[in-house]
Amino acid sequence: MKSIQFILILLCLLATVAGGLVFRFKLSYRLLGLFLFAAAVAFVLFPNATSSVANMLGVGRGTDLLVYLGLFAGVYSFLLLYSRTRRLERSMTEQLRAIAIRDAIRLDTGSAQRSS
Amino acid sequence: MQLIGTLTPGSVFVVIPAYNEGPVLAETATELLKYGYSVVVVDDGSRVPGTQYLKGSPVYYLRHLTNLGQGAALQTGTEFAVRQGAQFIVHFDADGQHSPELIPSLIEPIRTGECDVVIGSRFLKASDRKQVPLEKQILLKAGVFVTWLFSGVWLSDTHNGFRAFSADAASRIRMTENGFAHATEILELIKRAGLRFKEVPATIRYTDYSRSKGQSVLNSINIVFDLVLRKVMR
Repeated sequence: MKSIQFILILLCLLATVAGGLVFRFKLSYRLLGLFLFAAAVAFVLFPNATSSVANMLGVGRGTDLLVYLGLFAGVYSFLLLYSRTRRLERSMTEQLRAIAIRDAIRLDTGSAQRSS
Repeated sequence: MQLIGTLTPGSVFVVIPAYNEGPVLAETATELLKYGYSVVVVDDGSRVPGTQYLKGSPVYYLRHLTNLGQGAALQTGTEFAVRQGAQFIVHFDADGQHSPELIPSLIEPIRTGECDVVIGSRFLKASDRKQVPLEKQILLKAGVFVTWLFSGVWLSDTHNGFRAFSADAASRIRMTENGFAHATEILELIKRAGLRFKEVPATIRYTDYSRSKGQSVLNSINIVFDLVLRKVMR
């Protein structure tokens, strides 16, 4: 085994363990993580296998295939995170709005406004 | 323009979103109060609370605990006004670029039942148009196109913050775009709710202060980005 293979497998293992900890309550995500780990190790050990898969799909080289997949995964996770941020922002807005309306005051009398 | 016959000015709630505005906020509020309008200031998490400048003035003061954006502030103020029993709700900029004396002409079409929402435009009268700096005109016209693209509504002016709603219309519109994209979103919501709207001429007073607070080209690109993402994902 070349040392780069050892390092790569170690990194994959770390990523999988980290992912498993983050998604502690999501079995499907953990299983997906395990599957990805297995696939990654297989491709690290048999680098030429990526090329044959790539050829099957009509992509020239295995590395190209990985770049495409990586790009796709990156865009997907960006959109996922963005939509989550929007949801969070929306719920935060609702809460701050409720507080603002509840605590509304008239500045001349200092009286609180009871909204009907 | 004379004050409208049977209208009680107090039933007109003017919502002013304010974020880090200086003493100009008090000037704007005082001017509006002179006409007898109900003034709702929504402090959008300013560093120095707006109470600093508004001490003792008979305005409703609401505060977001943190900065959410102009769209969010307008929605908060509008919702509050409706709950207070407002008959008309007017959106008004804090920086003094809108003229209180134009409010009656903004409300008039709603009062007569001609429509539910009225939007001010800088491009209906040649004299108003001349007030707008050239680069701003180009930007705004591009905005008209983008707005049409996203909301299907063609107006002569976009991102004009001077608008009026009937209480019913205001309660049927709920903005969720916190940033400046709300100006386009509002039109989309008006259209979807089947509300009738029209534009009326509105003179904008461009001061150095309001210019410094205006939209930059970079910010406009941001708005378009927000709008695209809004369409892509709910």
